[in-house]
Amino acid sequence: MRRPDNLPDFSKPPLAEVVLGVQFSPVPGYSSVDARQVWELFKESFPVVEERPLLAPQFETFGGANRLSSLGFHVGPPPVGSRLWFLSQDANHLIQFQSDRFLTNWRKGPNLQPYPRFEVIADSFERNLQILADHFMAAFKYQIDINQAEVSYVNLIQVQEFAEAGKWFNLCDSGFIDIEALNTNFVQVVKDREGKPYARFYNEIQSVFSVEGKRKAFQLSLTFKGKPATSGIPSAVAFVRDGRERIVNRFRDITTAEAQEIWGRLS
Amino acid sequence: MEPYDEAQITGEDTIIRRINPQQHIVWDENRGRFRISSKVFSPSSEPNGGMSVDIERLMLADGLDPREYVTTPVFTGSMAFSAGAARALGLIVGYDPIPTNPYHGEVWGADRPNRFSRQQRKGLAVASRWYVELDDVDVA
Amino acid sequence: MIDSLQGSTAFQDEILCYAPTADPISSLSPPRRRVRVELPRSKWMADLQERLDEITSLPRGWDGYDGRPVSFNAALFAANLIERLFVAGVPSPDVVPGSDGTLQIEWHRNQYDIEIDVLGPYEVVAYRRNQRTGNEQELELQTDFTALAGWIDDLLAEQQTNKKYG
Repeated sequence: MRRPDNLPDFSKPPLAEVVLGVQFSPVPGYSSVDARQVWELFKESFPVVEERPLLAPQFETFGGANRLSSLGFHVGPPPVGSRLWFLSQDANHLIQFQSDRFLTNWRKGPNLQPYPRFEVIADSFERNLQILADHFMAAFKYQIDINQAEVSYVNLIQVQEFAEAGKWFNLCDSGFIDIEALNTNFVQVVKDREGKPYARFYNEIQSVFSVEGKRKAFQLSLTFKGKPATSGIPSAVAFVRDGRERIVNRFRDITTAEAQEIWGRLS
Repeated sequence: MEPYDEAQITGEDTIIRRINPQQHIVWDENRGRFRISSKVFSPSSEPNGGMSVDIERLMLADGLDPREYVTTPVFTGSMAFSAGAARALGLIVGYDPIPTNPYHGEVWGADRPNRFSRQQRKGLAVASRWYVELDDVDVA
Repeated sequence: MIDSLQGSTAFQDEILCYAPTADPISSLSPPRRRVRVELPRSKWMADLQERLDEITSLPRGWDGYDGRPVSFNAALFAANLIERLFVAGVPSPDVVPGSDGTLQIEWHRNQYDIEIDVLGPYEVVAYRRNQRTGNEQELELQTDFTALAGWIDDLLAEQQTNKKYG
């Protein structure tokens, strides 16, 4: 995968995490006992396993007067099973798996690994997703049916005071206001060439503290999610690539020139 | 079962479709009455899926009372239409015996086995009559 | 370097219905310590929650054949749709399970028949008939339900007209 020309580039972006993921129809016949076989596919590079609560299904739909709560709904019997984290030894790379989701995370911490670049992460994501899809076909005669894809960039911008918001973001000009906390978000509906909505672009800036409460930062999260054009892997990868371009351009648009210089803007 | 049209099922043969009164009935404010939902006349959306039915003639041939059979073990209402009426709508009817019901059959779309058009669903409703009636519920 | 974070506590406890859009797919999100305030559901969802719970728990063979309960995914997608389409003043729809795990949302009122067949996430076939004119429409929809929102608006408009003129 090649980096698109004319996409803004930074030598030291404040990236803390990049997440690429898909949601697919649940695998018929899959149960928790099959999770070990899935881990076997990846355990050479991801030898550490942790469990997390399941992610609820998500659907980006459009039309109608009502914006939906991000809390989601619960219907029927409680879902059974767990979401598994397969971690690389250095904990910088992570695969998240459950019976209807597959995600790849790159994290900067805890050892401050330099950002390997989207192309590397995306190639790994596509390769591993194909491995999973091949396994589903072999073991369950199931052709992966992807109904949602997403890409998320999480940036952490360390600050002395939250009043610095105007230094980092074009959206904020706090002037001399002593800001104690900041939480702002907006959601953009993204349309295709024919004007039909197909994705949402979530933009969130949140003031955050370190655990001991002494250090401050802004968390800038940019997430692009929706239904790819078709249900196969190539369409999901194309969707994620499209999302990444939008995210990088949005990052350029909402952060200040001063901030971009600090982050080593190259183009 | 692969969709097929059974030659031994004649046009006059009665095809029975069971109704669950707790699940299949909706309120029709336009009429001021309850009615059967059109969802009843839908095939399974799975590959080769059809609409489950009971074949009356098979039950009669085995000396059973069909009305008693289709309301056992759970009481349900049921409707009936002729195989000929289904075929006139572009549907096909075949045997599909299963361990729990040797008189089981399927109705499939001739073009798309697992999807009936709106006209086909409506046509089945219009062609149907009560077989085991539910009081104060319209068929169509 | 900030390697562990928690959301800022200032003001957020005072902001009713605070619902950050941060997705739990991020591994950086710490476990939430606060009880989150539930956003109020629409009247339709309040009316239908129990019904959706019921049809996703139906026993095998509920239809007299080999009927399955409505699939969790189809029901969730339908709930998403119901919530999105809600218009105050229009009564809640009926919800009917299919034998194959699908479900149909329907209204028969105000001289309209509206049937929204949810075959799965992003797979909807919607039908409307205007009894007064005989006009019928059928739509196959995936993500954009703007047309259905218009149908519900028409339902409300007809209802209000009926109320006005008796």
